[in-house]
Amino acid sequence: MPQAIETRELTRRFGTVTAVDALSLAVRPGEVFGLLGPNGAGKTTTIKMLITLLPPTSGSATVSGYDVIADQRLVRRSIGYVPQLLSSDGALSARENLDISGRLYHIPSADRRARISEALEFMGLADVADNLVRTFSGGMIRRLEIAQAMLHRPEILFLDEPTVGLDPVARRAVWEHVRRLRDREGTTILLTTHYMDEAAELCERVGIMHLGKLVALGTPASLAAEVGPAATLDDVFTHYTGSDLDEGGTYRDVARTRRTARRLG
Amino acid sequence: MTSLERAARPAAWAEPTAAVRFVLDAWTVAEAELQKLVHDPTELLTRAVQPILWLLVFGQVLARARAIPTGQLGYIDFLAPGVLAQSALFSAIFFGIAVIWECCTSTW
Ligand SMILES: Nc1ncnc2c1ncn2[C@@H]1O[C@H](COP(=O)(O)OP(=O)(O)OP(=O)(O)O)[C@@H](O)[C@H]1O
Ligand SMILES: [Mg+2]
Repeated sequence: MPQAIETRELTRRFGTVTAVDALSLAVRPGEVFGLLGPNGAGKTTTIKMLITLLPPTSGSATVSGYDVIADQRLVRRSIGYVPQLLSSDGALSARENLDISGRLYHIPSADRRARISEALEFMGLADVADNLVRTFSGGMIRRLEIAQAMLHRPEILFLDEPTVGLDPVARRAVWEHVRRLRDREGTTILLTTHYMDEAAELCERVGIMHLGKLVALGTPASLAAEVGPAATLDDVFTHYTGSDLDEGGTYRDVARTRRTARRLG
Repeated sequence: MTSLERAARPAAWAEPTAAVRFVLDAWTVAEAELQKLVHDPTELLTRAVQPILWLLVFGQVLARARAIPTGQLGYIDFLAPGVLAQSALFSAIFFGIAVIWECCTSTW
């Protein structure tokens, strides 16, 4: 069976900054794969290349078997994408937001209406379907965005930091829905996150990125075992990226680490 | 169930041609904007303020002053089409910029 996502030496430079540096990675069909890494590691840039919003500087990638450069439209039809930033429209209702997504995917109208009702039910938004999204909580908006990205039943779903800014209860609800989606539809899910508990909870395999490079790859348990007997995924993260999670990642931090890395390598 | 569903992907329905897509997608975006007006009609008032000011304030003052020769036509009749065209144009430019802004910030 072909890989759901496969990248070969995928690289993207912005001027002198190499945001993604020769990334070679394969994600299996039906897998929940987590891309971890500190701020500026290149996670979002990787996703944007995979969903054809950003052309790679060099290297290649296939998504659902289609080339991200040569078969852009086929790639776009096979995927759903929930961006790091807000993508629902607060001035419209949940149902209207879903309708826009369905129409932009050109789902025939009878089919579209049925799917929208079903998606609202599935995401636990049926009671508030006709309320304006600006009255929703962060967790409800995230669930709506996932529903919008899933309306055309894509084979692969990209979630960029799906639970950033959510309270613990809302995060659990999003996890629950991601899991149910995978179980019910067999969707392959690639998500990025800063939260190690989220990765350990949701992902079958994780890849840790640092300064554009993939520095570790494996199941959460196997990565922890490699680092030490009582290690957690937090320890794995610190081990590979050499930074504490809370340290942030300003431009200068990244530039400094990069200079050190160059000197070392 | 899942295997059947997945066999039907990704082309469970035919995709329109590029030209048809352009029209459909543009209409979808336009209709969403109209829908926002239905939810919040006060927007209509704020958008009407400027042309009303043009017609009532400038129009009346200049009509009285007869500073601009408009022949047989009354000055307000002369002014109205221009004000309408201007409002339409400005709204279009404004929303065009908003759409570009949205596409370059929220999805990127
Ligand atoms: N459009 C752009 N122009 C210039 N530099 C960019 C652009 N997009 C990203 N970068 C740079 O590429 C690097 C990787 O950014 P990216 O957004 O992929 O990181 P990330 O892993 O998603 O971080 P975060 O956890 O903060 O979302 C950063 O150094 C960033 O400054
Ligand atoms: Mg990011």
